[in-house]
Amino acid sequence: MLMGDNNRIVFIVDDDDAVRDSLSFLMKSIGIESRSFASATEFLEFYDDNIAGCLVLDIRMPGMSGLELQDRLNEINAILPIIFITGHGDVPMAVEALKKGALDFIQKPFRDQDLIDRINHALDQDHDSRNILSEKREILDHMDQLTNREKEVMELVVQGNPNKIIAADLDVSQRTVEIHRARVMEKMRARSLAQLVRMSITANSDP
Amino acid sequence: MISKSRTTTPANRLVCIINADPNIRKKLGVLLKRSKHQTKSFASGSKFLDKLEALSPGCLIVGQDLPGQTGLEFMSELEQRGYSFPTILLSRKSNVSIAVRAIRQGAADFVEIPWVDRKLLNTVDKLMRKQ
Repeated sequence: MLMGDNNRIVFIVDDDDAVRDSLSFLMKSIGIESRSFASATEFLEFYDDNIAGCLVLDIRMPGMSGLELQDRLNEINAILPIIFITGHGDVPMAVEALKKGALDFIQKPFRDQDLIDRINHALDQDHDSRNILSEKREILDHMDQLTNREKEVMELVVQGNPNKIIAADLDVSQRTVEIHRARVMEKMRARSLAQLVRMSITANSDP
Repeated sequence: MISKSRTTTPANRLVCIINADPNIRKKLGVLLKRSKHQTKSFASGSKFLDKLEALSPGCLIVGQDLPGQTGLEFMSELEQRGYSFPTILLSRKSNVSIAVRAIRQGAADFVEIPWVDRKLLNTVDKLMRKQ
């Protein structure tokens, strides 16, 4: 496993004491840190989206249900992937949860190994999402340092326009475009046009 | 709700019912016709495929238990042939893993039998209006 992966936590939210106990024990046995909560409300009080990990969530709970907790997390664009624990008859709820972005489901009663596989997959997914997000934040930080004119030049450059066209478009000399272009590459820390184009795509991507 | 769908649904679009059970075909047909949808029913996936060239389906309601294949298999077959229709998968034996597979495979919805008329109609209306 990579360094830093030790900071991830498997959050367990289930109103059933026995389920919480056995899942905590299972996580301990495979050396993954976990934290259990008896209700969605308790989890929300503790929750911080900067903590990497995943959420193992009972879909059916008194008070705030698993689906409602998912809604709350979606409202704040939480990254944390969710594995729902479902019962046999929970098909319509599972369909709804899936449409709202749930990563995975596990139906009670389940085999330990089945859950462990799903948790490992969810942790990988979380790791990837966080990497993409931090890369995007870094690119946006660099873009913030560009002047408006440099932003215009960058836009035209990544569209594939040669300096001559950009100069005509912005009604400046070709030499001026060259200077702006060099500043853009420097501020964005881009070593090639291809890299700049990739940065622009990442910056404009959805999540 | 229902009258709205009549004005926005192109008149020649069909709701195609693909189900091995004649009672379900009949029940769905009656329900949808009452809401001004035009329907056509097929007892199997292959019977639907035979007629497909002459049809313009707006959406499909596919049974999970088809003769010789599952509804999910039929959905894959359609995809392999290059078709994509908004599809509701209808299933008597249902569990979370079939439902999840259906949605991941692109089904617009997964509905358990017995279905709730009003909910099913809402879904069909939505799918027919989308196009």
